[in-house]
Amino acid sequence: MPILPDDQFERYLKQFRPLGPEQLQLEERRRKNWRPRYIAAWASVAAAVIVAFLTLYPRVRQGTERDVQPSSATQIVVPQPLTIRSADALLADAPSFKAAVDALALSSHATSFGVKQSALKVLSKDSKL
Amino acid sequence: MHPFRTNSVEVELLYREHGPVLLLFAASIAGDRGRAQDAVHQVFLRMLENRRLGEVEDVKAYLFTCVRNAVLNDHKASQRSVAMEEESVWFDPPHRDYTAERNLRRALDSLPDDQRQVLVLHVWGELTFLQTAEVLGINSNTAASRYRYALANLRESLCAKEDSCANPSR
Repeated sequence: MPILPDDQFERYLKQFRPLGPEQLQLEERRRKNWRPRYIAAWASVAAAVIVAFLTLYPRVRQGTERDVQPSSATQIVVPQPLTIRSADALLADAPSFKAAVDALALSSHATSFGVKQSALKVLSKDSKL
Repeated sequence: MHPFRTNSVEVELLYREHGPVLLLFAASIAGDRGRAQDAVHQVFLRMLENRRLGEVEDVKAYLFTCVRNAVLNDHKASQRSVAMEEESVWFDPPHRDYTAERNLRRALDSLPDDQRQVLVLHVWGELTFLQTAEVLGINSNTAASRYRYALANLRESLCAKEDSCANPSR
């Protein structure tokens, strides 16, 4: 068997091509680097939204409550104590039946916690009129 | 070469271009393809972190030096002697001749460490003796001398294993 000269033997060896390594995990690495930043960004956004909500919500609520107070009902002056006659007058003055009933409801609610009056006194006053 | 900032694309290109030979070189030192791969990955990932090849004159020789250091550091830590794996395939052989591949691996295994490293760097790494000497920290004449011995020993070993001498006409 012939012994190959160095250059031919080198060429023979070079025919054996080294196998490549596994894929370098660059994508995973990028994702690993990116994930904490992404989470931190979302966490800070969420925190900012919560802080803003907690700061603004009471003010918005106060404003809304002020707006929600029934203007029609407050404008209607409900006579105290309420009699049939005054109720007729109230219905005549009220812009609508609903507004009058709302005003009555609020008024009765207010008076229920207010000064106590004798029912007989009120009825006698009504009958005099 | 001017100092430049390496980005991941450049690192990937270097990895694709030199990865196979770097892995072979690492395996020829470590004897274990898994360890060799870890060492190669370590070098490239570190390169990505530092993102700078600095004032590197010869990137290819630099990569081989880094891989060699990584393998040797790992060896120092693990205190293991070199023992080549039998199962893993290192080469894509011509004509899918895996018997020849195994014989080549065994012949490489039979070489002394210093000769094997010089041989891998010169034949498959295509480094000059000057570059080889730089990587191994030896004189270029020593590198050339080791190479001649390595080639002779490898040829002899292959002839003995195959009961014939390597024939390029196969």
